[in-house]
Amino acid sequence: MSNYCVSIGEHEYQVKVNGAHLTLNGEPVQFDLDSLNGNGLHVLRRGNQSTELYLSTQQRGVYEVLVGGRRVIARVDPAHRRAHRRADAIAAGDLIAPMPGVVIQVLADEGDLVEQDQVLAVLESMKMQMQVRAPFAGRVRRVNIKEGAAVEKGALLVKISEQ
Amino acid sequence: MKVLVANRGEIAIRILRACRDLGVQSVAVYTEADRDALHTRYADEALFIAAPGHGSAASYLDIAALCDAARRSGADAVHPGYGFLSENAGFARAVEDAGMTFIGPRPETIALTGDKLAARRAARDAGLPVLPGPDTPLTQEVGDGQPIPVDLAAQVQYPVLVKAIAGGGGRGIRLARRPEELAQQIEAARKEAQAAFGDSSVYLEPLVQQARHIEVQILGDGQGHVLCLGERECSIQRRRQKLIEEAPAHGLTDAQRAYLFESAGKLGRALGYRSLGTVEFLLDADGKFHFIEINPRIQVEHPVTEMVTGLDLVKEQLRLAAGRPLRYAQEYIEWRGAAIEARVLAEDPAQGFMPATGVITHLKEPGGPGVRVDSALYPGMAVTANYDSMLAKVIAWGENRAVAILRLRRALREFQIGGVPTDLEFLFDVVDSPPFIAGNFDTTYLETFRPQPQKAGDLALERDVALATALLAHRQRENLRRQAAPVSGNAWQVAAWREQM
Repeated sequence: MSNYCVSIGEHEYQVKVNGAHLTLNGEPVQFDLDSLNGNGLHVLRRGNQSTELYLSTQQRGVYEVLVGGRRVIARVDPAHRRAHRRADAIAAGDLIAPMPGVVIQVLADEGDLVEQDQVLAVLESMKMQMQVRAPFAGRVRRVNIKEGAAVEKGALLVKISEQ
Repeated sequence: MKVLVANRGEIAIRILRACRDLGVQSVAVYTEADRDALHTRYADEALFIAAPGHGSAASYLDIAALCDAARRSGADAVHPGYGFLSENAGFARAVEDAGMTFIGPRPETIALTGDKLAARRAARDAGLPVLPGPDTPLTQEVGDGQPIPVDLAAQVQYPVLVKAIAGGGGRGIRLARRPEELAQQIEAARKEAQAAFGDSSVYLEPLVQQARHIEVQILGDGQGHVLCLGERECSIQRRRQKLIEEAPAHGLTDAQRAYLFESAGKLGRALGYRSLGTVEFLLDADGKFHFIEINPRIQVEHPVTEMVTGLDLVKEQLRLAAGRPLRYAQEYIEWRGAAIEARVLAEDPAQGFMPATGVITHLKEPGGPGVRVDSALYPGMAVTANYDSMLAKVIAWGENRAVAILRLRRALREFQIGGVPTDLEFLFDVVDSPPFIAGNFDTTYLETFRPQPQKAGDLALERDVALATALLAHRQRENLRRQAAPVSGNAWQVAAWREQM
């Protein structure tokens, strides 16, 4: 018997798998899942209802699910392991590129005092500009970018710390 | 005729399809990043274009490389699509100087439409209603960190738009609501215009509040004959980018429509317009139209016009380029029913709709009565930051607007794109919203639009997702356990197995 904790947005679900028997939050459920093409396309059968789902593993324990016109990201953890979430880099003052792009403007220098929500840099990707704002008031510790430079997703742009 | 398509993505496929229908030979071009793109496989031939000194992704903007490819392939006509060089008069001229046909307006027309102030003058001369304001750009000192000159400051009515003369695609436009914001917004618009168009000239235009964006499709033979193929409503925009477009515009009176068509036709005839063009207007809350600009090319939203007229606009372009006369008289043009288009973009709703990248792992396009999909997607395609984030267009036709909405809702729900987050659910929510259904919206609709946070059936769907993903995780774990068990003596595999657990 195996227990899983599934997180979808704010909600958590406990799923128990015991051979062909399944329970959801302690309630037994009739549920069958067949792979259609070995490539993510599944059909979910329950009673006289068949639902098409696309399931793919994004990274270990994180699944992308397309169902009924919706795209849902679900995180599955074996219940014995606490779901440990990545520390929020932004909250710690490490402003990272949310996506690959080009630096259009750098509006802060190392040592600057900045206010909360102050725009520190402007990036552009796919015809769209986005502002990188200070998550809190503080001092700029590092500026890792130059105007015109290309940045990768996840690259550290600016680091700030509380005063 | 042999046509080189100087573009990529869905519009390249769209043009290549018209070539196939006509039995015309076609040539695609591609960059390093697009080596495997769908349009390279759809065309009769595909040529690699490398632009020395540029990032290879920029080669669709390289006039010399494209003309060279056209020459090498033996093409006698070039279709620019939209975006890239489609509004570049220099490209049209280079194509014609090389002895080929440019499938679009004459270079002089493109140059005129590219200068927003020149286009305004032409529209005013043709008798079209043009927004008040000087026909000259702001002098270069304004918005250079200096205060606004007193005489200028005295004239400006707020809110006011700062617009790039070379503008296009919604770029180089800034809004100043109060006098204090003007200098800063001029500076911002100049910066964006310089980066996007290499020209920082800007002008001021009063903001039309509660405006609807309504545009008219024209088709000219370059000899003074201009057909009007009807209007489109494109008020559903985000960050000045159109997201949902429809034909016809709902609720126009016959008199308004007649005035709109007559105005667009007059301007088209005054310009001796050749090929496809769009005359854009704002419709204000008092029911008055104001000319904004001319787009001298095929538009992203052209399918809605095709659905209600039954015409193939690209085919008509190709026929005209081959020297044939216009096939129809205005009386022949009829409009049936309503069509709505929704743009499917690679963007992440969880990240404030920022453009997203990834690989398309799964694809199932919608179909059925009244539904058309224009896309260049295929499973395995990489969505990169090199190009525009538009993945596909879904267009639905119905005998009236309500039926078109129902079919579009169905199609958006059917569309499955795996591997990359998209705006599909957002599009559904917009199309499903009561003000949209009632036709009660203007160009600011999406600024305040918020989808219902929780919908009926959401929790049931989440429970299914929880069960399915847990079961899949369980099966993956069991598979690994079975595979790893017989080789437990191998330290590497045991380590890998433990890692997976």
